Amino acid sequence: MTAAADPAPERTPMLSVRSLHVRYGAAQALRGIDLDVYAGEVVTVIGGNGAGKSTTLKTVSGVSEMLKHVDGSITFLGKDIVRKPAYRIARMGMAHVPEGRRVFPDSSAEENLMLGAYRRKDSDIASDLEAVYARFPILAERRRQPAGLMSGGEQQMLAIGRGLMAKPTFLLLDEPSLGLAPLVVEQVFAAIRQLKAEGLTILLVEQLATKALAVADRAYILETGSVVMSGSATDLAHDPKVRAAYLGA
Amino acid sequence: MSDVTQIAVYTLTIGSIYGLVGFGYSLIFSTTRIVNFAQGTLVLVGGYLAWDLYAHAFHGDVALPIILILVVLLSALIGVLVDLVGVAPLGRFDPRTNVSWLVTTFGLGIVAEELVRRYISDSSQTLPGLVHSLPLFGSRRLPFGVAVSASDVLLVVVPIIVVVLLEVIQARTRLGRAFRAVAQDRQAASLMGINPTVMVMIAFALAGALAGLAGVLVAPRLNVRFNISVTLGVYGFIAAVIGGLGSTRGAMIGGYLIAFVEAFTGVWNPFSSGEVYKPIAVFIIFIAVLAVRPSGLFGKKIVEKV
Repeated sequence: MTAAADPAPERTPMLSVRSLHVRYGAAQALRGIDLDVYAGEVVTVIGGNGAGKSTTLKTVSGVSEMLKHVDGSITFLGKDIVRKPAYRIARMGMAHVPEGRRVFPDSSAEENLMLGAYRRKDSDIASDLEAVYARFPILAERRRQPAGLMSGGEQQMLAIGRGLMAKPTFLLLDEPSLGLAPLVVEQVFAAIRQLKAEGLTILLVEQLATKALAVADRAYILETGSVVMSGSATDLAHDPKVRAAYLGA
Repeated sequence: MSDVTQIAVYTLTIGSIYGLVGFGYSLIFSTTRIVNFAQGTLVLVGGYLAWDLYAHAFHGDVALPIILILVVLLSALIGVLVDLVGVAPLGRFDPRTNVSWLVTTFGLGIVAEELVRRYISDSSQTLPGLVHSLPLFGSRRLPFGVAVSASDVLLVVVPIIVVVLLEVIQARTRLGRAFRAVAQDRQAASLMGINPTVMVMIAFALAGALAGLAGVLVAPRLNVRFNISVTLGVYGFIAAVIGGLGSTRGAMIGGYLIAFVEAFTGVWNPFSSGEVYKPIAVFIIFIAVLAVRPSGLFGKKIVEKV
């Protein structure tokens, strides 16, 4: 319906996705997605189950097993990254906090965080570790505990903290609220708001559309692998169709 | 009482070789979730390479420890070759449903064995011990008339040093951290900027090096011959599984356990020839351990990922 309200037409986007197609066998998971994220923005991708939200994120970060079946272009920081392996894209400053947390279960919380900083060689790692503990005090309490024994909410914060330890310029969050109690969801979104205030660029995939639209600057709505609506988050939050379909109003 | 010493010596020497081979299985399993069935053959290849270098390339002019180092390096390369030819081309796959690795690794083992037969030797060979005497030891007899050579001492000590060293590397170094990350979650590790393909290659190189080392260390005791690829391959695998595939020290303990069972059966046996009953006893223990602890003595319970 509404075209993506380009917040700054003269700037080039940090991430630019053009006509992205992904096939899973015979099924078409993405049917030509166009998506831009500009520096400093929080952009959310919302939509129902199977709409292609996670596929979009996984294809961007290169972690998808279906990279061979990808068509279209993905440009990150001016470089073509489509079909590049995940570890190369991660080294460019993109941190992907995956769906289901994917913390390293046998490693302690601190080891998980240090793995986030695996590629860094600067001297700020120790102070960044303390900053993560300050942001998520529960992780400081659990620093010696195996991540696999932590609660879902703690694991989510650990996964976000691990992503931050890479000192990313771009953060991908895939369903950070999945399976969490309402109170914990609040904590996670408070953390996202905090990161936004600090100026971090974020692409957020979320089922909880109300929460996602509240924190985002712009949004894309996905249905069966296509962008059906996009625009400013506030506009979409007030759109009657969106409210009926996704916000339960 | 001499039986007791005999059993102890066999357990410690042969057991540590089973452990060394098993350790190779474990390293590869933890990063790829596949079992490298070429592992046993790589022991044989290591032995024959050492013999060939010693007898032909250098005509006995070069000290065996130098040959050992060369063989370990060559075996590491062969390990990488197994990965590049037999495993990496299979791509990212689910090892539980796609079992082509079973055919490729086993097949590469056969190819390697036939290459040795064709180009090095097709008969049993002997290789002298790495050292004739040790500073504190020398060749001597234990009480009750059990002969222990300097190479037997190496056979016991070197694998333990290697395993401790690899455990320290895993726990303390950056490489070890990356390795453990890949073993736990390959995809998540790649999101950390770790290249899983390289880590798997390192695992294959280490496993190859361990097999080569085992081949040279065991040569003074078992000679260089073809059927050790089956014995060491299978028993090394059992050692790794008993210890818990993926566990580092587990393979060592598993190796000692089955060597002990073998020695015990060979000595304390109501029947005339214990030799025949050794494998039976080993497999009974194997099944018994798995019945009680399906993921091995040191293995972690496999938790379904959500």
